[in-house]
Amino acid sequence: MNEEMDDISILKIVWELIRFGKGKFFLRVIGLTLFFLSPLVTTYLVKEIFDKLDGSPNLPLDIWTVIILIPIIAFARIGVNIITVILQFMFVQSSQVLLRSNLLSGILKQPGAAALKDSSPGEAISRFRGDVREIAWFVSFTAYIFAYGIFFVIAFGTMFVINRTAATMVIIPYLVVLIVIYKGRKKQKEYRRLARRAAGQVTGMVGETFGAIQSIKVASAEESITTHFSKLGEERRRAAVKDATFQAFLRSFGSMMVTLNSGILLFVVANDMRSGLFSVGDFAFFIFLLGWMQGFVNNLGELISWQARASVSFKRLSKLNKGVRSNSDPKELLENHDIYLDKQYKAKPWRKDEPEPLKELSVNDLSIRHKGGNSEFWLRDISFSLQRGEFTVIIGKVGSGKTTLLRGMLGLLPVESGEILWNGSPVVVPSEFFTPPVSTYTPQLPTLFSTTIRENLQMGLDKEVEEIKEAVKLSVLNEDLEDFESGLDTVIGPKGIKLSGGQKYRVAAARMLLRKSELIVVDDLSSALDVTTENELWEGLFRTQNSTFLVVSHRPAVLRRADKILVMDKGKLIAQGKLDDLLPSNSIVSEIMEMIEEKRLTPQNGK
Amino acid sequence: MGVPLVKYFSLLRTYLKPYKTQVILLSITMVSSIVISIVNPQIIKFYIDSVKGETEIQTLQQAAILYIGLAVIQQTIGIASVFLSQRVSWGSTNLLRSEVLTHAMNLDMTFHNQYKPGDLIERVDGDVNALSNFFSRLVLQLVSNMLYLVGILLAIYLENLILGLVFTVFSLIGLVITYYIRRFVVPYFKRMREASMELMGFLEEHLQGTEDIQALGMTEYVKEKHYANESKYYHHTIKAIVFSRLINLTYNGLIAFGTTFVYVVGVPIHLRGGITLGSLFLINYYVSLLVQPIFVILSQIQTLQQADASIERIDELLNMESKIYDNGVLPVPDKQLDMEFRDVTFAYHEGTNVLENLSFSIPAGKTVGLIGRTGSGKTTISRLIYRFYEPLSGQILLDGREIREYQLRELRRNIGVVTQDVQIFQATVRQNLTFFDDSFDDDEVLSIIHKVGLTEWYTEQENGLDTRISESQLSAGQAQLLSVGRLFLKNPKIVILDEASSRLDPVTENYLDQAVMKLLEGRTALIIAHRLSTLDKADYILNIEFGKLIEFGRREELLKNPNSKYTKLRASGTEVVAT
Repeated sequence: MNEEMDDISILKIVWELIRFGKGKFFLRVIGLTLFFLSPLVTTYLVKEIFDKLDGSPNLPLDIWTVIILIPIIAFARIGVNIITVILQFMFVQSSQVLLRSNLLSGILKQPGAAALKDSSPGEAISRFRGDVREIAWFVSFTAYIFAYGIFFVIAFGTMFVINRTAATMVIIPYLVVLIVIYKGRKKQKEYRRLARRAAGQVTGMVGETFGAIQSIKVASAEESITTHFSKLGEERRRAAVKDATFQAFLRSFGSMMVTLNSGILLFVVANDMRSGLFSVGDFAFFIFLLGWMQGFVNNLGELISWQARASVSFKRLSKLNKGVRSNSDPKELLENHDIYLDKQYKAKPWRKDEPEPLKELSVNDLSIRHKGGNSEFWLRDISFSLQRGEFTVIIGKVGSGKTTLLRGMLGLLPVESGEILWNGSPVVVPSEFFTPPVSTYTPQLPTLFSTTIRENLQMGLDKEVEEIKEAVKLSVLNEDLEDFESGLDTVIGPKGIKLSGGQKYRVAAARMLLRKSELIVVDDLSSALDVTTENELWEGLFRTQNSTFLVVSHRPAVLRRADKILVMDKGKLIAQGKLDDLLPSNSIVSEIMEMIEEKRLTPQNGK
Repeated sequence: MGVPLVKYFSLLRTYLKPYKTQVILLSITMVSSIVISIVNPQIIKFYIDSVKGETEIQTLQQAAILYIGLAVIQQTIGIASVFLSQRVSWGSTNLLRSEVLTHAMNLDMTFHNQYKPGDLIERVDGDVNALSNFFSRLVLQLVSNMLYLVGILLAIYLENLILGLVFTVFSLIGLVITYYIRRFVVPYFKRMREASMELMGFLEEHLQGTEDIQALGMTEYVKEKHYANESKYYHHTIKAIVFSRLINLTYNGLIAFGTTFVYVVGVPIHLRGGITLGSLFLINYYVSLLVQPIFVILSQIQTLQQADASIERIDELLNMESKIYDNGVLPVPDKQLDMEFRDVTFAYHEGTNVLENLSFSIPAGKTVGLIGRTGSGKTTISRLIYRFYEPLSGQILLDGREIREYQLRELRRNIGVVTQDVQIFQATVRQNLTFFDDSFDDDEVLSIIHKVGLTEWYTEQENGLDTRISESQLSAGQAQLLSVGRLFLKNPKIVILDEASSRLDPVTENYLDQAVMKLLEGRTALIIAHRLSTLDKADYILNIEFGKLIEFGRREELLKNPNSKYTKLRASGTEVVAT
């Protein structure tokens, strides 16, 4: 971990995003300055009306001209406001697109099975949503503060010219407001966090309850669930009330200060007004401007605390972007480039090289460190090799490192040491190299997406109907498709929820086979498929695919067919060879085989 | 506006009842806050009008102090009213939320198969939250802002009749214009939110599939789709913002026109001596206050329209009834129970019978092993026993009485089920074992943990029984053992094992088998088998195919008969594949 690299100053962030949207940003600053100057002018006109009525005019204008000027300025101001707000959203939205697309690229560069390891997808989404928004709005806010600041200085200057004592007296409480708002925001954040957490517990409980509804019903636990739910609800109520009340306090505090200021003004200028030094118009001018000036102070306090929040947000994004990668620069997130708002992004060709047909794949002394929660798991010094056309099976108990080995080799997990040779030459970036048409893969729990089956199979791949049909047939998916109303165009719902476990796996298998490759890698099928279907799938694969296979399986039929078995135990490759050679000598293999045999799992007669 | 006013009132009555005192207090705070905000500017008027006259400076300064004092009181009351309204609204919606949750839990499985947990979170939390707006803001804010609006207008009338009239008409026109503009803008925001949901939904889904995406070379495709979503979201947002400016235009336009009217109408009146300079100032001040309640009233009416949809959805849910009638009155007798299926026929969808005229019986305390191919109706049998569904015809008897005659809760309390899907709650170890029932003491819970063989796992838990656990921290095997533990605590008279071990590796499966064997002792049990060996401990074997019984008998006798299906199955070494 390089701390200095991870740190990037808030100024740099602001600067890079302004640079990205410079046109919009600076136009907006100009618009905002005009926007803020208008109440100053309006208030001055109101002052003039009162002064004229009071018999001490300052401007050589007819009173009706002054009155008519008020709505004219107001509408000019509204026009300017519309333009600045649109510019603001264009700036904010495009900055967000830039940040999000950079973050997505960063995450997709991480080893696939290790990406987002430390956070749930829900959490990652709240980074994409909340933190990105926080930064973009903060940068846009600096334009607002800048223009508002100009107003504040001019307003105060004018007041100072009108009456020094009054101006000085009313400015002091603003300092108090500034401090209270700044301190208060921090506390507010804490209350907000607690309220959110309490709310999360309530929704979490609802989700879990209905996710487990069968068990709850059978356990007739409805009553105790309701009691627990009410308890969580009460906790949430307390947190929410505290949060809302404190927020109301902060808001009231600002308005209270405006009134206090007006009160102070009433107190201070009484003598001057009587003697005519301070006119009723001046009084109106002060009173109306005080509210506007209050707004600036509030916003300044906000800027200070927001600045800290935006830094934290950026740190979180950097962390998510970096993941387990060793070579990432936080500046990646700010990199300026086209964001394709008005044209289509064209997927770049994935592979730069034309891979050689596989003759031999060797893995030499591969070590992988796999962090799960707070425990660490090591895969040490794994060496083996595959020849073209061979069928290799990995076996081992739960937790022995079978999946980790596959993932590490394919570049889906970061590798500590060791090398992988493809026909003798080293593979430099496995995650880029081991993709179709070099290799194709189905993980143990494949992920499908909420589109149609066809879309899930293709995922941007341009394939003939015949090829799709072929892959579907090989994956024993034909019968299932007939049952679906719209066949390949059936929408399968989030994570493929409308499919059964076996169907999901077979769709994933078809997706894999559609990407014809030299090497086919398959993690354990047996948890999702019954023996008959699994056998059919293997038969199809052997018959038609001129490929090399590396698979995890515990089916005896598969083991017997294997050219080579790799036996994993506690993160080590303890033996390799053909089943008959391994059985007599290796205790782990015989233990596993015994377990299977004992369960009468002998599916060579299986149906 | 589909929900009639009567419905609003009945909702308010039911759920605000427990908070009567607080609601009254709340009304008082709100009215007094309005009164102060209307009265306070009068002090400034007095000040302006008297500053040039004879009034003593001291009196003026006292007026200033009064002004400050009133302002402080008003803000304090404001905070108190936020506090009260939040308490009331969270309290009342919590009541409703619990009611909706309980009701939904008690609906039958046909309902639960239809709705995903995510949908139900939307009902129980999302819709009820929308109602929380209804309770806290809508009624209170709508009423108070109407009062505020009327109060300000009255105050202007008191200054000058003509100006009062002008601003009454002004407010009415303002209300109408704003109402239509808001309605015009809403759909654009809806489209923007939909585009945002699509963008985030896509990300969430694909972030979970990084392994697949990378290994299958789909990265660039994901980027392409992401950019397309971003572009859509961007353009919808800008469109929504452009139109939303119309609202802003109305707001500021109203203020501008209002201020102009004050002087266009007010200056001649002042010049004729109709109002003082202080009055003119005061009216300008009031007019700047006038626009705010107009906007709040309309935005609250809109919230009400959104709450309408929520009220309707909640109403619909609360009106659904479980198709499993709970009319039984019998308690379940405290002894070992025998069970019988008599000509039971069942179908999930009309026309395709899953079970057909199925009859068999299990003597008290005996174990029946159930075998059959995928889709033969094995799991359905167990679902009928704990009454997730009702048979179309035929009877299921427990201790000689139909199961419908027993109280539903009593019945289920006496049946324990282990399936391969174990749900772990994000809660403590204890809560996970007891299903949030606090009546068990530590020793009881601990002895169960030892009994099912989780001792080693338990010693790793930092805070013992109070350690919070979640699904991802447990292996499949540990979760299964935990679910067996739940059954030991429940101590049911009937046990159903539905392929409990099918997802486990052979070694872990052995542990589970041992725990389960202890559980079966002395109970009537039905074991749905994944592997034939699981059934070695069964007293009877029941073999079904396509919902029909093809063989039933004592296991030992079936084994002795070389022609029995069971013997043949064993001899062939066939694995029985199960759903």
